[in-house]
Amino acid sequence: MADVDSGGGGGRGKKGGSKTKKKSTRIDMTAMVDVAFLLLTFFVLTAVIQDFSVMALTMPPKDDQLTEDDLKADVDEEKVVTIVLGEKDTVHYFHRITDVEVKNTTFDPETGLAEVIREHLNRHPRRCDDEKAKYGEETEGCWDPIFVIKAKKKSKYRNLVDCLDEMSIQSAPKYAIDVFNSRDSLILLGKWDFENRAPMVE
Amino acid sequence: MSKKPKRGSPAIDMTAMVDVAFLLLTFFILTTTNFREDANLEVDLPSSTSIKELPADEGNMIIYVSDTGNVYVGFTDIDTRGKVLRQLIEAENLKGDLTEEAYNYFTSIENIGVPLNELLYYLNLEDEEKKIFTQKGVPHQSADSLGRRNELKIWITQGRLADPKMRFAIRGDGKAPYESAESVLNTLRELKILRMSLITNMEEPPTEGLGM
Repeated sequence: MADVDSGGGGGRGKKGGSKTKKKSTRIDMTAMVDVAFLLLTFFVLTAVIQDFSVMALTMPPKDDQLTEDDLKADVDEEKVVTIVLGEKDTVHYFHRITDVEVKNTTFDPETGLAEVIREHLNRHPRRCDDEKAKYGEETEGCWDPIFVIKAKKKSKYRNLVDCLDEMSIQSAPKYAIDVFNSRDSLILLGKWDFENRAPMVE
Repeated sequence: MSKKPKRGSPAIDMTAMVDVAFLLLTFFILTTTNFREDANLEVDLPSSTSIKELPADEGNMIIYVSDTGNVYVGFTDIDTRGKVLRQLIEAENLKGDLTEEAYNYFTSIENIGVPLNELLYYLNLEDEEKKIFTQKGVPHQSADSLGRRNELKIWITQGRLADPKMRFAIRGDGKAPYESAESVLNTLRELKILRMSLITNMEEPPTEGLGM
């Protein structure tokens, strides 16, 4: 099997029927084919098929003047959950803007951050982005949850992507990336005085 | 060997098969391993469940963030690359000559991460010297009192001038410190570019959690 008929020798050999002249000039390709397919299999299996996708991200316009306290005046703070991405893949979160209780969670897709988001989204049965609210008039008093994502400087970019991805998986309607400032770090430490809007005095 | 009349008949001509096998082999070798020019920058992308793709027909500016937090810039459109380079040299009064080779090199690479004052020096290096040259990344911290500028801002501005329809995408390594990503996001935001894309690896969405 697997050989090249080089034309001359073989053909004439048949006609003439001479046994001595039938020195084959065919090349046995079996081994070559084996090697070729072995290598081929190896490269096919190790090939990383680069499959990129993009996540669309829209940032709010820059406005340095606004602070959390201004935000509180505009928005019902019950709607807001702040997610803080920390070092070494840690996640903290707190509901409301003032008088918060900081809790910890993980990136686990079932019990971690996803559950926090899901719980907040479904806190009230009727969401503003519901089909009903979209096409009907029942927008009055509907549930309009807002997520604020704050990543510490030492957290990893992956954490942010995971968090944003979780938002899109849960189809959260409103979320924004905000700067992790000194107020937030004091809140995490429990040293922010919400009443006086200043660090706690020991 | 069988009897005379049957000789030769069960042999299969494998020539074509060998051709195909080697063709495929060559293809996979060339596409998988990093024999390409820009092998100096490896980006380990985080994954997401998004299924959108980067619009290929439009000019994109891609901002790379390496695992150490260095920032590199690249333009997908080759004509834009050339335009941006010429504009930068003129607008920033860069010292050095732009040779034909340097220009061709710049338009052939996918990304570059050298400060503006080293740009022409780097482009004029010999191939061997380029390999050992460490790209420090494009400075992207906001301007400070020491006179350091946010050069990423300059790249973006020139990119937009070269192609007003330019779209922006961030290709960050998962391990990159958020600090770098944040300053890239802020730079874009300061330039009033609020819509951008984050390039990620495609990942299967979890079945649970959908349809919520």
